[in-house]
This record gives sequence, C-alpha cells and structure tokens, in this order.
Amino acid sequence: MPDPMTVYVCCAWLNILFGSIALFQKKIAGAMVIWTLLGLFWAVQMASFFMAAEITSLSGVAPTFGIASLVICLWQGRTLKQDYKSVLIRPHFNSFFLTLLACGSLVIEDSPHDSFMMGYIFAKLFFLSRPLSLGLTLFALGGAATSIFLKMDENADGMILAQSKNAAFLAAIIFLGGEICGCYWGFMGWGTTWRWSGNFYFSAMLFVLFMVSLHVPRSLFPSVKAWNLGFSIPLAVIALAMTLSKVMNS
Amino acid sequence: MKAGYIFFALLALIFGLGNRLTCIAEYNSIFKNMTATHFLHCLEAIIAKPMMVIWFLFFAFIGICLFINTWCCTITQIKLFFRVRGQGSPKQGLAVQMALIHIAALLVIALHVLDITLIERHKPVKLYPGQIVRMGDYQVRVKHVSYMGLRSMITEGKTGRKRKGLFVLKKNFSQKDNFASIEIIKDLGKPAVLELRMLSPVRIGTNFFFLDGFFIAKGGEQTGIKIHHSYNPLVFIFFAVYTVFFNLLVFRFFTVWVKENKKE
Repeated sequence: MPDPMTVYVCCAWLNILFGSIALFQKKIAGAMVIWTLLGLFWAVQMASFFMAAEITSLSGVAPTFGIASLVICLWQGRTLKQDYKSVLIRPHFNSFFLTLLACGSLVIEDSPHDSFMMGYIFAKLFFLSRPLSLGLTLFALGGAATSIFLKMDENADGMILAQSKNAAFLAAIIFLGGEICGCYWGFMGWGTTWRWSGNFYFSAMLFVLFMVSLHVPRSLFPSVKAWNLGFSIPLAVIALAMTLSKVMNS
Repeated sequence: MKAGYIFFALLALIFGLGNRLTCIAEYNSIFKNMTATHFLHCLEAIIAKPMMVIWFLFFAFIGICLFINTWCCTITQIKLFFRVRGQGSPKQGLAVQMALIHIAALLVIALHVLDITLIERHKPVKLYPGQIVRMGDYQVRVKHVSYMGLRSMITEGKTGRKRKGLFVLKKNFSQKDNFASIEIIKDLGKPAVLELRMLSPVRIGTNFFFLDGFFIAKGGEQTGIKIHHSYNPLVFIFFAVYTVFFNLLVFRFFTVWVKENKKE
C-alpha cells in the first residue's frame, strides 16, 4: 500500500497537468474526459489526505483547496455541455482556477489541525464552510469573467450571469452559516460571539464583500460589462484573500 | 440599493483596515483588551491613539448608515408587499421574502450593537483548589481540579502560558477527564456545585462561567485553572435571529434556483 501523502502529491501533479490540458480543450468530448479525470483525481487526492490526516481535519490548505476544487468540478460538470454548446469560455477559467488550486495544494503545512479546540463539531462546520464557499465563489467568478471577456448574445449572457449570481449567493449563505457556527464555537470556547480581533475582522470583511457583490446596482455602472466587473471584483478579492491567507498561514 | 452597495463597500474597507491595525502590536493590545472586557473600559487607550479613534468612529458611522439604509429598504419592501398583495403574482412572494430578509438583517445589526454595548466580559482569573473569587454577583470556590493530560503542556514558562489552547492536540486532551468542580454561591444562598469543562460553560440565568484552561506555575506542583465570567442576556436571541436569517436566505436561494431551472 503506497504512502497516502505520496499519492496526494502525485494526484496534485496530475491535477496540475490535467487542469492545464483542460485550459486548451476546444471540443466537448475531450473536455468531458478531462473534467471527469479532474474530478476523479481531486477525489483521490482528498481521500489520500484524509487517510493521512483525520477525516475531520478541515482547516488546512489541503482540505480547503481540495474541497473547493471538488465543488468547482461538480458544478462545472453540470454545465459543461451547455457551456461548450454556447461556446462559453467558463470551463477554461475554471480549469485555470483548478490548476492554481492544485499548485497551492502542494504547500506543506507545519501547524497541526487536529487540536482539541478544533475538534468541536461547530468548529468543523465553520472550517467546512470555507472551502465550500471558496469553490462556489471561484465558479461564480469564472462565469462573471466569461461574460466580461466574451461578446455574448443577451440570452447566453443572462443565463451565465444568473448562474454566477446563484453560485455567489449560495457561497454567501454557506459562508454565513459557517460564521454562525464559528460564533457558537467562539462562545462555547472563549465566551464571546463578537471579537475585536484580526481574524474576526477578516471574516466579517469577506462576508460584507459577498454583500457588496450581491448588491451591485445596475444604475451605478455605464455598461453591462462594467456592471459585471463590479460584481466580479469583490468575488476576486474574496477568493484571493481566502487562498492567500491559507497559503501564508501554513 | 446604491446606498447599500456603497455602505457595504465602505464597511468591508473598515474591516480590512481593522484587520491591518491588529497587525500593529500597540493597536492589537487595545483590541485584545476590548475583547477581554468591554470597549468602554478601553476608552482611554482608544482616545490616546488617533488612528483608533478615526477607525472606531468611521466603523460606528457606517454601521449606523447601514442600519438606516436597511430600515428604509425594509419599509420599501413592506410597501411593495402591500401594493402587490392579493394579485397572486410571483412578485408578492418575492416581496414577502425580501421584506423578511431585511427585517432579519435589521435585527442582526441591532443585536450586534447590543452585543457590543451590553455584554460584560471579565478578564480570566487563575485559581487553585480551595481558593475563592468574587465574579459579578457570585462567589466562586474551586473545590477540585482534575487534569489528566500532559503536565508539560500546561506548565508555565517565565512569561506565563507556553502554548495556545488551539495547539493542544486532541489526542493529548480529554474533555471528559479534565474538569474543575466549582461551588457557586449567590447572596449567602445555597451553594451550587457544578463541573466546569472546556467548551462547556456553566450557565446561571444570564451569567456564564467559562473554563479557559489549566496551568501549573513555573516551579510549582499544584494544578490550577483559569476561568472567566460574563454577563450575556442576549446569547440565545442572538443565535435564534441568526438562524432565522440564515434559513430565510436558504429559502430565498431555493426559490430563485427553482425559478432559474424552470427558465432553462
């Protein structure tokens, strides 16, 4: 039986390879094969991580990037045919994100994630909410970026934006659910629901950025593209902040 | 929506700035004290730092603006609901959902304000078995401390605690075996004997007692505990409102999702 972490690293490299191949896929048949393989390798990468660590270790780089990637694979798999029929470049953006996440997942962490305080069920839910939310945010960003960079007809534009907004809305809801669980964890562990701390401000900033993204008024922007940009920028900041904070804290 | 967008963007900026401020030691110590006690207890320290004053005032100002804006949005949504009521159109359902979401958001903001202003936390105290301390209206006596973990993990160095609680591994710490038995007395009444564990505070009415950790002083033998007390009349309402808000958003998401899927 091979060492789980060796399998993890191999899968990460395979995900980088297949993510890069998916970037240049022009035909639906090839894309379907590549995306299926990507989903499979990400699942194996995650399984090997959880075999090495505990199934409930959810706070580190590996589970965050892995679960986020699985969310992207699942949601992209659902819309892959539709995207290729409409000549949308959303799968290319998403494969780019997957490649970056696979590179990030190679970062080795020193700090333990199986501490007693993190073992609390509400802490687990809090940590689980982050990767789910990150995956959905990246998917929303991929859709919004497609509509910024591609000249589309009104129908395709409306459809892709509606899907992106749904993904961003769901990301915000999951993030909020995680925050509520985190607040409860904070209360039971440290006796406070509100904290004047850097971590708290960071989380609050991310949630408020979701609200910024979901409250973008059409009337404030001269064109639809500018409006989409207004929707995408907060999401890009959220995604960057979430990924960089994980990598830099490792 | 325009005003809401601007206020949200400004609030995100304030939180981002707050996050940066906590990276500076002199500001972080003030923030830590604000968390450990009450922000009013730290007013002098806040006033001494102009940057903190600006940040705090800006934060309060945007918070108030956002509350007023959400209030106006709620009124608009309620008016819309009454306008479309009885038409049986999808607009009616949307208006109800949006009105309820905005009401819940208003309550969330209001509760956060009350949380910041009303809740009183007290700094942790270190106690050994047999010692008595006054916490609010209560007298707390430590009867017995049971610590079965690694002693090296809680033995203090020159500057106090060696490890943060977050880095105590699960395999080295059992919630069941590690506890403190305490006696709580109010106004010479009958003492209540309770077991205090990590992640499992003791509640008496609106007062909570938390076990922050165990310690062995440098060169000492006896195991002591660190506990703190807080007065929190809002905690259950706080989580109830947040849960309602969350469920309303989930319901709204599924409504939109079903509608979009029908369209596709």
